[in-house]
Amino acid sequence: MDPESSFELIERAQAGDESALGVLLARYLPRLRRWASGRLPRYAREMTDTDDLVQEALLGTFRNFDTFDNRGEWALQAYLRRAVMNRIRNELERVSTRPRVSEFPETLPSREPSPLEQAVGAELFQRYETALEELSGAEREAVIARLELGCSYQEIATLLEKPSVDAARMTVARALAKVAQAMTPTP
Amino acid sequence: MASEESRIEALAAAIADGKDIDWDLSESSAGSDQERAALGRLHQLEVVARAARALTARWGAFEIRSEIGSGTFGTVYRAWYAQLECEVALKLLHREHARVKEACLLAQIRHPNVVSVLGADTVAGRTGIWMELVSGQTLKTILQNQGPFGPDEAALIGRDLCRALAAVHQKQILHGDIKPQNVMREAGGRTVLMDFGAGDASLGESNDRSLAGSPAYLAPELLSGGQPTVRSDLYSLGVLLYHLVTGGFPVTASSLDSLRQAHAAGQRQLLRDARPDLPSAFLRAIDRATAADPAERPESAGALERLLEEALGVRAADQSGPVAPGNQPARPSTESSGVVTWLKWGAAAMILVSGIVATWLALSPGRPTGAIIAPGAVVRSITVAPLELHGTSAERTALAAAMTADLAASLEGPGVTVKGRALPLTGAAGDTITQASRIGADAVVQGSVSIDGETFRLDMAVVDTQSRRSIWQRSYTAISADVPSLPRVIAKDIAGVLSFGAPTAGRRPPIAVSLLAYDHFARGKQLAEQREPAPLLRGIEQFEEAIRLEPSYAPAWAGLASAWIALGVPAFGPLRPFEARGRAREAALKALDLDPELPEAHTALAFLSYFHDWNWPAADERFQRALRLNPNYAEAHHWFADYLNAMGRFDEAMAHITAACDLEPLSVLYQRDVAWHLFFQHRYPEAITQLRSALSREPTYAPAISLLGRALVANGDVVEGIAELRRLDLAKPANAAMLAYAYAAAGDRPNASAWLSRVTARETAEYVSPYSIALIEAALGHGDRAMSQLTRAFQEQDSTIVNLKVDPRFDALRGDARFTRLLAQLRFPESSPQAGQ
Repeated sequence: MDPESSFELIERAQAGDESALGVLLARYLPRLRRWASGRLPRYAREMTDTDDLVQEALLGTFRNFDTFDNRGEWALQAYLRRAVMNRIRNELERVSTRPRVSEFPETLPSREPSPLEQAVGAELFQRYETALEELSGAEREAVIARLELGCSYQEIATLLEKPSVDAARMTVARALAKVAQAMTPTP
Repeated sequence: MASEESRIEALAAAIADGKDIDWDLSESSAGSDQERAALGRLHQLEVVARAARALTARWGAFEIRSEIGSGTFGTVYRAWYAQLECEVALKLLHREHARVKEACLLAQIRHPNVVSVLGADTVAGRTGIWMELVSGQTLKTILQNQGPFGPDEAALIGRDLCRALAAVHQKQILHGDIKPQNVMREAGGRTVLMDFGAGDASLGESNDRSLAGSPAYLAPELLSGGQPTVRSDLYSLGVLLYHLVTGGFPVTASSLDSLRQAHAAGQRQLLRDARPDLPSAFLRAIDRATAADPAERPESAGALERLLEEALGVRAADQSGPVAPGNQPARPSTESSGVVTWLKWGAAAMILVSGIVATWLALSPGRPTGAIIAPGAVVRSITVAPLELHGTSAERTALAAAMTADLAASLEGPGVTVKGRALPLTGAAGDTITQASRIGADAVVQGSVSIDGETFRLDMAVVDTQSRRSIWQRSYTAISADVPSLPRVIAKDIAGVLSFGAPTAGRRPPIAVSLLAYDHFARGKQLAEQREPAPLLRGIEQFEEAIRLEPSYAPAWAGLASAWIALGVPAFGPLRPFEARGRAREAALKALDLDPELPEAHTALAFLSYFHDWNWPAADERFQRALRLNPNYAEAHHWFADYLNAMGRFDEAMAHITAACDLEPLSVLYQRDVAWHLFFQHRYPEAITQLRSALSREPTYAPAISLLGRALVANGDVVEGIAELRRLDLAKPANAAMLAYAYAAAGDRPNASAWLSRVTARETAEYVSPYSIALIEAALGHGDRAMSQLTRAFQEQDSTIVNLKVDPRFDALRGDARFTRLLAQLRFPESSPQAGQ
C-alpha cells in the first residue's frame, strides 16, 4: 500500500484530522531530530530543548503550510529542514545573554561548529557542503536523507517517489557519486 | 570508462549502505590517475558519511536519536526502542565489557529509587545497556541552579538513596560511583539513582581496575588500593549529602596523591563548621557516613537510613510541627538545561497527538524579546520607514509595502503615536531619519528584507531621530509560511523594548494566513491606493484572490470594501455609486463578521452609511466607533471629516482632516481634502494656497487641479481657473461638467452651454452625475432645470447630493421652497451652515 502523500496529510491535519497529524509527526519528527542533533552545536542543546523546538517547528510549519510548487516529498523535507533550522536559530538568539552593542553588529558572533563539522573537520565539511549544492534538489535531499537524517531506503523511495527500495538505493548511490565528483580535490 | 563508472557507483552504493570499504585495496587497483583521484574523493565523502551516520546511528534494535551525556566509560543516548515502542536511555560503552552479566543482575532490581535497567547486549563490538528514560534534572544541575540544599531536603534525598542502595546491595552489586551527576530528581519528585557505569567491581570479585569514580567521593580505603564494599558506597553517599548542603567536600585536594595525603593526615572540614545551622542529628548521620575508618560507618544502607530518619524526626520535634516523610521539599523544580523528556508513543499516541493538536493553534512563530539597549530619549511617536528589499525582484515590493503597513498598524497602542505610515523611499538611510524627524517622530523603524528561496530574513532597527543613534536592532529569520505574522511579532518586540503599552493589535486574533494570500492582499492594497479605476479593479482582483485562499482573512475583506467604495466615489471612479455600494457593503459586513473590531471595516461601513445611505446618525456612530478602536487610523479621520463637513460641522471637520494630515504628512490626497473643506467654508484663498502646495509636490494630481480650478473661479480668478480646468482630461464627463460650471459662473454662457451639451451627450454612454448638471444649470440661472436635476439626483441616489446643505454653489437657490423641501427630505441635522468670511 502506498503511503499517503504528506501534502494530503497536511491538508487533512489543517482541517482538524488528528490522526493525519500523528502520521506526519511520526514520519518527520524522528528524522529531523536526528538531523538536528548532527547539525546543531552543542551549546544549542545546553541552552534550550532542541527536541521540543524541532517538534514546534514542524507543527508551526504544517499549520501555516500552503502549497508551494508541489515538487514532491523531498522538497517538503528540504523546506522542513530550513524551518527547523530557522526556528532554532531564532530561539537561540532569544535566549542568548550576550549583551548587545549600539552599533550594528558586523556578523553573528562566532559560530560553534556542529558535531558533524567537528567530526570531519571544517575543511572537509565545507567541501561536502559546497559539493551538495551542485546537485539537483531531489538528489541533494536523497543524500542528506540517507546520510544525515538516517532514512531507510524504503523511506527514501517514498520521498523521491521511486518504485522500489532498489531504485531508491541506486538513486542515492548515483547522487553520492555525483557529490564525490563535485568535491574539489584536497589542496 | 564504463567499468570505471560502475566501480565508482558500486563504491558509492557501499557508502550509502554503510558497509566497510577496503580503501587501500580499491585505490591500489585503480586503473588510472583519474580513477585514483575519483576514489580519493569518494573516500573523503565516506568519511563524512561515516561521521554523519555515527551521529544518527542505529545500534542493534535501537534508533539513536540524541546524545544525553557522555563520560569516561561511554555515552548515553536517547534512543527509540521499537520493541517497546518507547524511548529509552541507551548507554553505549566505549569498549566491549563483561558488564552484560552485571546488567542482568541490575535488571532484576525493580525499585522506585533505582533506574530500571531494561537490558544489555553487545552488538558490533560495543556493549550497550538500556534503561528507563528519566525525565528530570540531576542533583548537580539543581545544586548549580539553586544553591545548597536545606537539611530536610538533603535528608530526604539521602533516605531515598539509602533505600536504593539497599536494593542494589541485596543483589550483591555495588554502585561505585555515587555523585550528584548520577542522581536524578524526576519531574514528580522521585529520587532516582542512575548510572551504574563507572564501577567495574562486583562484590566478591577482584578486578584489576583503574580508579574510577570521582576522587572526592571515593572512600579513603579505595584510594589506598582497597576493595570496594558496601561501606565505601555509603561513604560516597555521605559525601554527596555533605556536598548538597555545603557545595564543598569533607576532604579536598588538587591531585590524587595530595588527596591520599589529606586523608591520611585526617585533614577534613567538619560539617558543623561549614554549616553551623544544621541540626545535630543530621550532622551525626553525615559524620558517621563519612567516617575515615570504614568500621565507624553505618554497617548498611538500612542503618544509614535510620540515622537520616532520625534527623528528619528530630527536626520535626524542634519545630513542633510534623514533617511527613512523604512531603516534597520546598524547593520548586524549575526548568533548566538538563531536562530529559519521557515520551510514550504507541498505545498513548492518540492522547499525545490530541495534546499536540490542542497546542497547535496556540503556537506562534515569534516570541517577545530581548535585550534593551540604552534607550536614550523617551519615544512617544514613531514612524516606520518602508522596508528595503535586497537582492529580490520588483515582484516583492507590494509585499514589503504591506509588511511595512502592517508593522505600523501593529505598533498602534496606548502610549505611542504612529505617524506617517509610509515615508517615501529615498536614497540613503540618513534621509529617512531626517524625514522622520521632520514629521515629528521621535524614532523611526528601519528594516531590510532579504529573500533566499523560501527563507526571509529581516534586519530591523529602531533609530532615535534626534541623536541618529540606533537604539535597538534585531534580526528575524522566517520561512515563507511565517512571514505574514512577522510584522506583528516585530511590533510586539519593539513595543516591549520601548516600553509602550502592549499594542492593541495584540488583543486581536493573530494573523494566520499563508504568504501567498498575504502577497495578494499586499498587491491589492498597493493597487487600490492609486484611486484610479484600472488599478482599483486590478486591486479588487488581488483582494478576491487573497480571499479565495484565505476566506477568513478579515483585512482582505476590508480592503475589498474600501476598493469598491473608491470605485463608487464619482471623483475617482466610473461606476454608478449604487453598483459599487452593494459590493462594498457585502465585503465590509463580512469583514466585521470575521473581526468585529477591525477599524477598517467599521470605517467602510460608516462611509457607506454617510455617502450612500444618507443615514447620518448611523454614519456618525460608526465613525466614532472606528476611531475609538484606533484613534490613529488616518482614513477614518479623513472620511469622518468629509461627513462632518457635509453636516455643516466645520470646526470638527477641520479638526479631523487636520488629524489625518498629521498622521500622514506626506499624503497629497489629504492635503487636497483640507482645501476641499476650506472651499465649502468659502475660504477660497486659503484653499488655493493649500492646493498649490499639494501640486508642488505632485504636479499632475488631477483631484487637486480640478479643485484648484473651481476654487480660483469661486475666488473670482476666472481665467486662471478655467485654464487649470482645461488641463484635465475633458473626455470625462465629470471634468467637462466642472469646466461648464466654471464658464457659467464666469458668465460665459456660450461656452457653458456648449460644454453642458457635451456632458449631457455622454449620459447614455456613462454615468453623469445629475448633481453636477444641476450645478451648471444653477450657475446659468436656470432654477427650474436645476431643481429638476437635483430631484433626479435625489431619486437616482447620486451621492454628491450629500453636500447639498453646505455647497456654496447653490446659495442662489436657498430661498427656493423646493430646495428647502429637498433639504428636509434628506433629513440633514438642524445646525445651519456656518459660513466663513
